[in-house]
Amino acid sequence: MLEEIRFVGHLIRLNLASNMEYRASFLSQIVGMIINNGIYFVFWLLFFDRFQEVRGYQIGEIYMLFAVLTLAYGLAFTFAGNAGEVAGLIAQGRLDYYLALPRPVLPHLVFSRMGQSTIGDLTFGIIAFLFTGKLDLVSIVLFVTVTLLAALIFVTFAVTVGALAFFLGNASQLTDRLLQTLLTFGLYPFGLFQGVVRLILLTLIPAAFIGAVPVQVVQLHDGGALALLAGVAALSVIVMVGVFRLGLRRYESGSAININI
Amino acid sequence: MDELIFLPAPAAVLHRRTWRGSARKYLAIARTNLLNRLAYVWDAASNVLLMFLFIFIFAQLWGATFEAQGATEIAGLTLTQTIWYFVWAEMIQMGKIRHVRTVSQEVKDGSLAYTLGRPYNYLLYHFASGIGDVLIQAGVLLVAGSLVAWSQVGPLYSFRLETLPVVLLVTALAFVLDFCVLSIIALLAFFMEDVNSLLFIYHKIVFVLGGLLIPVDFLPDWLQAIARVLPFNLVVYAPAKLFVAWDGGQAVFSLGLQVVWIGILAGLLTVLYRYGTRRLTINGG
Repeated sequence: MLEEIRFVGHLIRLNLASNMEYRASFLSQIVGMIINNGIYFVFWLLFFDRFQEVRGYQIGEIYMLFAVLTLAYGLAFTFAGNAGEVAGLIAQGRLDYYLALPRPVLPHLVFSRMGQSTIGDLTFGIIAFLFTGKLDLVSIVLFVTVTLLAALIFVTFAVTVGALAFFLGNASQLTDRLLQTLLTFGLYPFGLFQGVVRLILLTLIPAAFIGAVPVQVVQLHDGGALALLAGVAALSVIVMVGVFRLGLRRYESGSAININI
Repeated sequence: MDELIFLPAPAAVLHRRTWRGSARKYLAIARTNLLNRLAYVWDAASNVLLMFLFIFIFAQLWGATFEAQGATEIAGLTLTQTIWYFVWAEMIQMGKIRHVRTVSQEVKDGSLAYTLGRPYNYLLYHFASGIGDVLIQAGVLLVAGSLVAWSQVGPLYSFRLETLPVVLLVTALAFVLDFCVLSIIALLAFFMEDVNSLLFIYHKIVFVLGGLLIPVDFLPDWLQAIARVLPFNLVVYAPAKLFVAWDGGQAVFSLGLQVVWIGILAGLLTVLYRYGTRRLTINGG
């Protein structure tokens, strides 16, 4: 286990060095993503400037929501850059490269690439947290913990949906759309959603666990919600590994010669 | 299948200088792309999921907001009008002509030079080609968005059928205006290595100052004043607002402003295109 963690650490260092070779592009993508998130944030500033509160959310909760969600998304897709690419790699028969090497397929596949623009999300998340006013030690520890758990849920969701390509053929677009759905629902106050939609956001598309529940943990120092979040994150790992292993049995090589850059 | 083939070169050259010949040529391009798009209708339908999602979320957000305010109207719009406003606005945003990456790539790799010798105007070709796509996308998105809006807030009773031609005209000019801005961004590839950041910033400005995320009427007064003099509101807000809350005077005003901005931007585009193509250098063969 320790050796695998060291291996993932080595992959991350290599990816970072590779990204830094193109510094101008690297930096412009980061700045672009900060602007992108900033615009959505401006929308909420304008919204709460006029309407003050909606279903228990005020601007303070939105600061925290953006902090957790953008940092978690940034962590997930910066370090596990291939998590959102799994469907395409399966459909193109490009798993051969990973299958042939003496390392566990899933971590090797997921951590083989590093996202660039997502570093902008990561940076934005940290800046947003500074505006929350929750800068005491307990809140900071809780914030880091829930963000890591939310990042894990992002990765497992993306890989699980991507692994559906084993069964459906090309599921790239499905992965993109479902990830966007997860993110979009996560960025709105959870109290807006009722009934069946609320149930879906707590199960199939776990938007509540990347946004509302982490916010509740940090804002209210809610231990019960933290335990629930940790449980969901662990369950999501089990589901991901199960679906991937099941699908891998159906995998057919594309017989393609690939060069991984 | 014959209909899919462009006019043979001699005929195209013959018609080149006549208005009717040009119109036929660009209609053929638009029709070809339309038929091409119809062959991949499921691909076009993939945006439907996003349309469902956005309109549903907007309905929840603004439903809760109207409820919290205890208001039947905010800035002159009812909840029903607000949600239907987003249907029209998202239809424009998600259905727009997407040619920036193609054009900027052709500028960067020099393949633009090969198309310059062909018997059509390069930018009009992309416009005609994109329009075919717009018709399919906008139609599908409008149906999808309407289904969600209807299920959430009911029909739009304020809509008047007799205003539809003018609303469609303002919407069509919104697509033209947006095309001009996007083309300018694409052609800036003559001078910049990467125009994606500019494209990104333009889209984000439209989100707030264009009225895509929030109707301009809901913005603070100082920001409304800025948004109303800039062309971005004419791309999304103006047609969407007329669709839900018709105002004859506003329609004339919006049309006039659209024509003026299109004139300015088309002029700028022409200058940029001519200057850029003179600077074009091709390496290799």
